[in-house]
Amino acid sequence: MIEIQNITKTYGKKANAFTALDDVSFTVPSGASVAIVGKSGSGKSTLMHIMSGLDKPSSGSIVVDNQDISQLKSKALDRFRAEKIGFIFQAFFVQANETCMQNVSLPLEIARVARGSRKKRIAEALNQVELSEKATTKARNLSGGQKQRLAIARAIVNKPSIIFADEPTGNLDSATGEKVEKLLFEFNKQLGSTLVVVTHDADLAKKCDMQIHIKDGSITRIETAKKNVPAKGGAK
Amino acid sequence: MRMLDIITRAGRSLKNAKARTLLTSLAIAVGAFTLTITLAAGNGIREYTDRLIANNFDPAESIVGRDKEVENTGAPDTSPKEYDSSVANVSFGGGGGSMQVKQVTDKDIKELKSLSYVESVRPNYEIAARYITRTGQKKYTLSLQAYNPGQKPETEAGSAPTTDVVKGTVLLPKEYVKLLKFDSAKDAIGKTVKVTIERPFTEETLKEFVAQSMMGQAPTTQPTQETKTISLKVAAVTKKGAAALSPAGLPLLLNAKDAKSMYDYTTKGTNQYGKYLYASVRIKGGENDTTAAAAKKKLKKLDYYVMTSQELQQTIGQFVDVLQILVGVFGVITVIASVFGIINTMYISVLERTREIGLMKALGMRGRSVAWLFRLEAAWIGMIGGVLGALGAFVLGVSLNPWITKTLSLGKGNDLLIFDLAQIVGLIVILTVVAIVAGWLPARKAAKLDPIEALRTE
Ligand SMILES: Nc1ncnc2c1ncn2[C@@H]1O[C@H](COP(=O)(O)OP(=O)(O)O)[C@@H](O)[C@H]1O
Ligand SMILES: [Mg+2]
Repeated sequence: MIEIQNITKTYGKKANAFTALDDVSFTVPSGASVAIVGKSGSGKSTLMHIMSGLDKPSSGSIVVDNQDISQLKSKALDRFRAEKIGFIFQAFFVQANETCMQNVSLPLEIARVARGSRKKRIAEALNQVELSEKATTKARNLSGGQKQRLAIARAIVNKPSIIFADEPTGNLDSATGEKVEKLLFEFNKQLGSTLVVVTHDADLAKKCDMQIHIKDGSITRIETAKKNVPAKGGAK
Repeated sequence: MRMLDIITRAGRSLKNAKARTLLTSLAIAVGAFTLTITLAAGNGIREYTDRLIANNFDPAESIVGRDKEVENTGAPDTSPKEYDSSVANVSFGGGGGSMQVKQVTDKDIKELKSLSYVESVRPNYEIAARYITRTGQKKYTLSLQAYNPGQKPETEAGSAPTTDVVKGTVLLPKEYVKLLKFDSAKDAIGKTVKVTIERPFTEETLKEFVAQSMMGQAPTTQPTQETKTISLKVAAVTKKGAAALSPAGLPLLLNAKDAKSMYDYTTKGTNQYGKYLYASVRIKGGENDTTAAAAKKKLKKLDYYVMTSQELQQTIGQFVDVLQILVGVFGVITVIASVFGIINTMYISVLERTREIGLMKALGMRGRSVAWLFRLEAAWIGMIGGVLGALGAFVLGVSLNPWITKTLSLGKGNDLLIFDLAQIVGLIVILTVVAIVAGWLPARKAAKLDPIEALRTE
């Protein structure tokens, strides 16, 4: 469960101060899929960074599985991300000169997983995104869709409890984008990982259990799919 | 991240920038090359001088004198001193002027010989000889010395005695075999050579000569120098060994008693009579450092100045050290220059890999690990450079050694460049550490990178 409580994020100081997030609160139940929807510059990425422990809020708290991560020291926060969070970015950020295996190996190395058990987990993750044949191929030789699948393999290899995806299909054509979406939802269901997708794609947002609409740093609306447990909190 | 994984990743990113890595490494390699050669030359020179000392000095023997110059390892002190009737003028070759040295007397020699910890005493006889010849042959110049068993001269014929030359015999240097028209070195053994020594002007003849000159008269009597010819049987023919120290060629080597009587003859009537610059004193068990030092302490109480053979060895060692440091400085300067190359390369590497660093940090990699990733990349550069440079120096050194030995006539089996694996490994380790230090600031920059900034795409 992720509980966002009165998050405010301000950039700059005094006259130049800019409030990117203004008193945002909501709760995401464990295993749910959430879309953060809004126009460019509305504060989606900022929110995602704060929820994932990449950035700190100016005020407010983020409680993930009963732990307030806004209070964590940098070392504990790094560890939190290494063990609990998977990231997928619009621009993939795969290492072009590394092989697929080496790319997927990175989170395991960061989490200090023993060498012996890595190989199996890497192969498993690559298999799940259907990139087994490309295991020893350099990432630079992959297509855009394959790169994003590789990024997904990297995000899931350490079995994170939350996967954050910032515009995961933004750089892909609709056909490949759909395949990536399918994979994301598959892991959300299979692994039970909470999925947080930042998007301005309405179709993608609709497939999620929960949609959080933000505008100019404030939540305007929270939609919950009928079948799911409704989340507490919401817009003010 | 575990160190092993960091090392692997650092090596991998180097492989991805091969040309840059190699070029930066080459700068280090030049320094490594110079330093490896310097170390090898230092080893070679040290080994060579050690052999020189072993072949020319008795390790149990100390030089004992009355003048503090005996212990002076630097430039001689030529400043004016209070006059002392027991001092003698010693002049140096090359127009270096003269200095006064307090000498050792026969009385001192007697005293030294009586000491319980002294095994033997050899006064330094400086014998002024005129020429050497043999019946029917020309005259040739020579130098004479008392035999020093510590010197162990190599022989062409006959053998070098272990204690002293038999009285009335001589060890003849090989050069004279041809000059004095012996058939061979072997032929010379047992044959007689004649050595002529001279006595200085006596005071009376000099006075008379001076008095006549001053009165404007042509001197009636030209002062003549008394000379004496001594017949000596050749006991052995010596040759200059590969590790012989005397650059001027070997002297004729005499029995101590013969040397003394010749010295006395050549100094009679001068203030040098019965006086010596120094004496070589063999200490009982003096091969041992502490025994030699203890004996020195006791001798100093008797107002002697002492240079033990260990100290002499140290002095020569220091000279080699200074030489090595001078050359080493060039190597160090090269290394310092290449450090800037590494810093530059590492900054570029950090800049190029902003995204990668951002991603790694976003995924929870500690700043410390990121820093080590770059430090180790620098370490790889340092190590590769070190290995390349050392290897180059080794290959070049080993192939040039025979030529150097020949050119400098060091003698067979004496290599100028001696490579020591432990030294080379140590050097590579040091260069690796230097490279890590060079990569410190760029690595810190990488560690402090903000992942959100680094991953921003718009
Ligand atoms: N480091 C920063 N300094 C100042 N302003 C920032 C910074 N990061 C983001 N912003 C601003 O905050 C707002 C929200 O940005 P962002 O969360 O990236 O929007 P979105 O992802 O919805 O496009 C934007 O107006 C952006 O310019
Ligand atoms: Mg954004």
